Amino acid sequence: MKQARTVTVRLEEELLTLGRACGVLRRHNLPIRDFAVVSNGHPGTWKLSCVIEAEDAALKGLVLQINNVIGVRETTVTPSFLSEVS
Amino acid sequence: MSRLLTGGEILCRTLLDAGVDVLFGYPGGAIMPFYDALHGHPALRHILVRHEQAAAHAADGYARASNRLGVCVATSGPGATNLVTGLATAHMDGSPVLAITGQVSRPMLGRDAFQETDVVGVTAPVTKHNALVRDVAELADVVREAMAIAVEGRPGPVLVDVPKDVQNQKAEYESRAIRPAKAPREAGRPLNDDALRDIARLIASAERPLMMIGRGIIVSGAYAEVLALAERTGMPVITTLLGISAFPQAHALHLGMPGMHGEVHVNKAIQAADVIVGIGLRFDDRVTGNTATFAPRAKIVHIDIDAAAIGRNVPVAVGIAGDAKAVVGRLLTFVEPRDCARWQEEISGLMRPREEVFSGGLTPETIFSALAEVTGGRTTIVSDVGQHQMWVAQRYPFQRPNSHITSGGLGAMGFAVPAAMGVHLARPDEPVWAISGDGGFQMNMAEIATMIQEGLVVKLAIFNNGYLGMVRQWQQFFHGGRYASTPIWSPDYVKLAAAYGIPGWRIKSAGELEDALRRANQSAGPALVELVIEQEANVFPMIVPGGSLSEPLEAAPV
Ligand SMILES: Cc1ncc(C[n+]2csc(CCOP(=O)(O)OP(=O)(O)O)c2C)c(N)n1
Repeated sequence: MKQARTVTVRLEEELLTLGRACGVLRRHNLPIRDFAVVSNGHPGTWKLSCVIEAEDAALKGLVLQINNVIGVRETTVTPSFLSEVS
Repeated sequence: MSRLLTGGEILCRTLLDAGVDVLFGYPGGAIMPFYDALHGHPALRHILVRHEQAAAHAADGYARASNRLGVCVATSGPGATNLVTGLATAHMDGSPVLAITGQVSRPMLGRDAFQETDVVGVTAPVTKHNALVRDVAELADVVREAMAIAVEGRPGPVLVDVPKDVQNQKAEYESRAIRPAKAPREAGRPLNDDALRDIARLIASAERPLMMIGRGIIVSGAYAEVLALAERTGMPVITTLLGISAFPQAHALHLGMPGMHGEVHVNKAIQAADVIVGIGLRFDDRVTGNTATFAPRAKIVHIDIDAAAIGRNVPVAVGIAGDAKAVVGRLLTFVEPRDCARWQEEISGLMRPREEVFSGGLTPETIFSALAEVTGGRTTIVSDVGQHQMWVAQRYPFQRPNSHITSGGLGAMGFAVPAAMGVHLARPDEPVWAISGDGGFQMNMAEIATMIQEGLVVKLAIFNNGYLGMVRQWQQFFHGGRYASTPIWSPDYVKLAAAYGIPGWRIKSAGELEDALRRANQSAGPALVELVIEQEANVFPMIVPGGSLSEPLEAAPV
């Protein structure tokens, strides 16, 4: 099912890490609506958030790959997926 | 007080302290301080290649054969960009390679200086991690961290870009161990006994279970565990292109390779299976064909070190992110012995003798059986990309773990010859054979000079069909037989060998084969054997791109 969700990535305060995370986003070629990078909250990290409307499976794959980027601490999706990969 | 070292010296010491003893590279302006330091560190053997692509492939070949880090070096700009194909190859196939590149000095960065390329930007998508070193004080730590990242989890290439002035800067050097690998991120089910019990239950209740294994078994060294799982359950085993030689080829439970050029009975078994236990593979599209029609009856168990691979291409019933050896080792404690006699019989019923598509005697079978005979199984086969690669994968009788090396994910022509140089250095006591087509061989044949200069022993076999054979096959099947730019001229390879001072043979019939292969195999240095094969032979069976595994082509479409 297609649904708009907010993907939030907490990553090290490093342009390289941000660039890599954006690279993964770009490669998946999904429609991105809002996009913001802010440096609030945790010191030493940035928060990237974007709204993406995509199939659950596509979004799950994206999240797992962003998690693989060295320097990415955590990726969350809201609303979260109902059925997780078992 | 400890002595101050230059950045170049620190690089050498960091590599040595990590156990590196060989590097493949090519010097140039921006990396000269490092080369100057190398001069004073003879324990670091440097192999001067003829093109930086070869340095990256050789480091990759070394890494795959040794299960250790491979290292390559290049200067800034063109040197660094020439590494890209090799890094992308290592990235796709999960091979740990460290690339060290020179960069223009820091004050010149961003000014389009001579030979300045944003190589960190260029290589970001084809490396696991990369970094520009901003100060000599952080150099050793950046390199150590990159090395740790390269080998942990799913291995992969990393790149460290070192500005020339950083190589000249001085700092204290402190020897430190590389940090241990981090545990992989979890995906799917956490690795606990419940998940393993569920997998064991699926295997126990299945009528037609299959195991599919990939390179993850080789990287993790899970040969014994996988063999034990197969033998305890009677599950037939399928090896992907990169999983070849992870399971004894001659074992009664070994079925063969799946996918685009997989045997008909292998693909049919997948389509009939009710449980597939996939370990250390990523179910890529060359394996699955159209995923909508892949294994329609099967519940899929997916075990892989890369959390992001699980469930990415095929839906899984149980997914576990973890190291194959550890997971399968624990899984074995839950799996009850069973057999799959009926299912094995059913698959045997699907097997048919291979129809020979070659006229004349110089068939892949005759070539590979002669090669296996003369090497007595004591060799590593490194194949290039194209038809010959598929014939090697389908038909070479591999006997030993990790004795087959090829560029699977990227399919980079030109890989075999330089990668085989790396394999030779990892396994110096036995011959390594690089098997290429006439197209791929011509991409990196300049490396014969490297072999001579550096004393590397690689045996070269060229399948000469006068075409870029695999592309010609697609043109024949899907583009009305219009052979656009696929006929390819070759030099006289025997004379080429002579020009490099190595022995060479041109073989046109099966009768001449064994003697030439034996002499090439026994000769002290590199040797070349050109195999003049039928020009328009095709690789069968074939699943058309995007097609279903249920519908193999076994003859050229009309
Ligand atoms: C670097 C690179 N360029 C192009 C291709 C596309 N390609 C795949 S197979 C092939 C033909 C290979 O021809 P050859 O080396 O003669 O081997 P054969 O297929 O005849 O065995 C080509 C051009 C590729 N895989 N890699």
